[in-house]
Amino acid sequence: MAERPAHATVPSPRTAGSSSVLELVGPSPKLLLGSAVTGLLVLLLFLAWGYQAKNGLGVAGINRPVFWGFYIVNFVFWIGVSHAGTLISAILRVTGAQWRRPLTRCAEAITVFALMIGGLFPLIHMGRPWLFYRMLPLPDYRELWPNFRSPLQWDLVAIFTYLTGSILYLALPLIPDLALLRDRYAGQHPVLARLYRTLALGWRGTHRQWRALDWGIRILAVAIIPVAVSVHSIVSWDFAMTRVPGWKSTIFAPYFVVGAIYSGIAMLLFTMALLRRGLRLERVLTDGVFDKLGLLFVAMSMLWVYFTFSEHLTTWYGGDVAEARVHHELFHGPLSPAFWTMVVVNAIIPLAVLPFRRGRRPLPIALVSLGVVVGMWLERLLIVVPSLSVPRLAYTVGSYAPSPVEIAITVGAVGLFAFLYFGFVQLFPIVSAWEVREGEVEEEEHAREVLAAEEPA
Amino acid sequence: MSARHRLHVASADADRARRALAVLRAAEATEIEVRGSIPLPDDLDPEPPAARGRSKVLPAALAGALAGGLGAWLIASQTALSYPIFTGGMPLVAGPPVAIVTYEGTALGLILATVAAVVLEGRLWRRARVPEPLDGLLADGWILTHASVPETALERAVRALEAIGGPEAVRTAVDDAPAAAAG
Repeated sequence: MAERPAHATVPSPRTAGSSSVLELVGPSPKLLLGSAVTGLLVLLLFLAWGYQAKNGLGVAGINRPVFWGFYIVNFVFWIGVSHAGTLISAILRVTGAQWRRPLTRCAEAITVFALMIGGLFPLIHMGRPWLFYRMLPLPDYRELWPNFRSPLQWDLVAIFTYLTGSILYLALPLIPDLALLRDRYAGQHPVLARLYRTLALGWRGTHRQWRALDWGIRILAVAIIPVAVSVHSIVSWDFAMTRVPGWKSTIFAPYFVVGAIYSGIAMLLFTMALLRRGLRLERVLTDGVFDKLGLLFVAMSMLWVYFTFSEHLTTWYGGDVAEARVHHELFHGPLSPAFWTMVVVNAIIPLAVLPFRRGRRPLPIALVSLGVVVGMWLERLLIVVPSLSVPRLAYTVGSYAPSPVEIAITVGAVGLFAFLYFGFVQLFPIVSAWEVREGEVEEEEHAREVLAAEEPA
Repeated sequence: MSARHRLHVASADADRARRALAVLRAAEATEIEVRGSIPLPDDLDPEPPAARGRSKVLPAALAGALAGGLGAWLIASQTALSYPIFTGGMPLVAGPPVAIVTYEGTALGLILATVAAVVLEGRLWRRARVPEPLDGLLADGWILTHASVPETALERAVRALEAIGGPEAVRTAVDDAPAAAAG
């Protein structure tokens, strides 16, 4: 670890801001209301899932030839959204972007919850989730071992690695803040005091601990980037390793990764705007943070447009009959309204609004982000369904309409995500107190140096 | 031989913490520990640079990556060999899938080993001790210094500490019971 300069100082406690961030922890009427409303959606999710488990997959709308419907759409969508946090946070950490400080934890929490929900959908799609253990390399009496040649098995391995890494990447920088909460709640609230005492481990804030933590965060930040890229590449290979028209594409992996980061940033910006408004975080989640993340957002928007255009241009120009049928479904078929909506909300609106500084202010960027989140879900739908509706063998043409159970589970999953997030915000600092504080110190130090340099000798 | 008392100092900034550290060293304090709510400058580390040693987190992470990769490679390749399926003349152990599984196993091993190394090196496995008197000030940005000071030097050390910047800038607390007998 690089030596810290001897002149580095910490700010006077009178100007310290970390305690104000810590004061956000705890229930508030707004958050409790949010938890209650989203809790009802969670109930809906589990009721619908239970109904499906009892009655079988027949209650879902998936049928020959469209065997993948909303569940796989949601799986791909939520895994994509999970790229919000860990990847963005890690990239910003590795590149030393100072403006990352207020948003890293907000983003990392999105990753963990989105991944949990994304990982839930293959189980829901299985119909009999209790047989999931057969994908694990466990010896059993039937000698059924997982087939590692299957991309679905790669999914399991990759998502497990990513989820583990994301949870630890969220937890490690949380420890110093948990220790502050432990000290704050000591002797006040027995349940919370015990929770924070347990989670803070033996953190005291000594040099030895800060050094170890610094190493740990830096290594995890570097390690998590290729893992995140690999996860969505592998999800794309679930499709691209087949001969299904519209899926067999050499650029599917980078296309998926770009889409994932795009939807992840959109979810992050939307969540940040809600947090800023709901928790009065204007001082921490400043217009400048939205502006800078907005620039990244517009860059990802352009990349997404480029990849989408390339993907459709090459297959259309190739003139393959089966591919042409998929294109016809997209451009003129029953799903064409979804396709053109996707084009508007993912490409036209962001590129019309975001290049301007005014468009990157919290309210407009939140609205654009919400559009992109919806648009990216539609994109996943348009990848999964049309290709299966019009497969190569023309006599198996079919259509897909989601059943109420699938719709309930989809809506419930959104509720579960929000429910988990509301819970997290009430129990843990959603802004990293020590990282924000460290940034303030560095700014103060810089200002002091500038003042000293400007003073006449 | 005299009894020693545990002295706790909260300093408003790093300059005052440096001076407090100097006072404590002059008072022949032992078991000095400096704590902060953000990473502190290296010159506030009571441990001399030579005694700090190099961090073991990176070597541990690399070892974990190696172990994870090896384990994943073994699972993927040995599964294919132990439970062979019909491959139509293709090799039983398929390279690309094994490479993908090995890659993920390497990453998983690296991540787990990194966290384990942080826990061990930072001694985080030692559950929090009894709260210190000034712990609550950490969240407000104070730097805490704890030390064991001989009873004979205690009064002098406390006066010197309070002179550093007045009670607004430096706060002290002394445990009434002697901490330990020093030889």
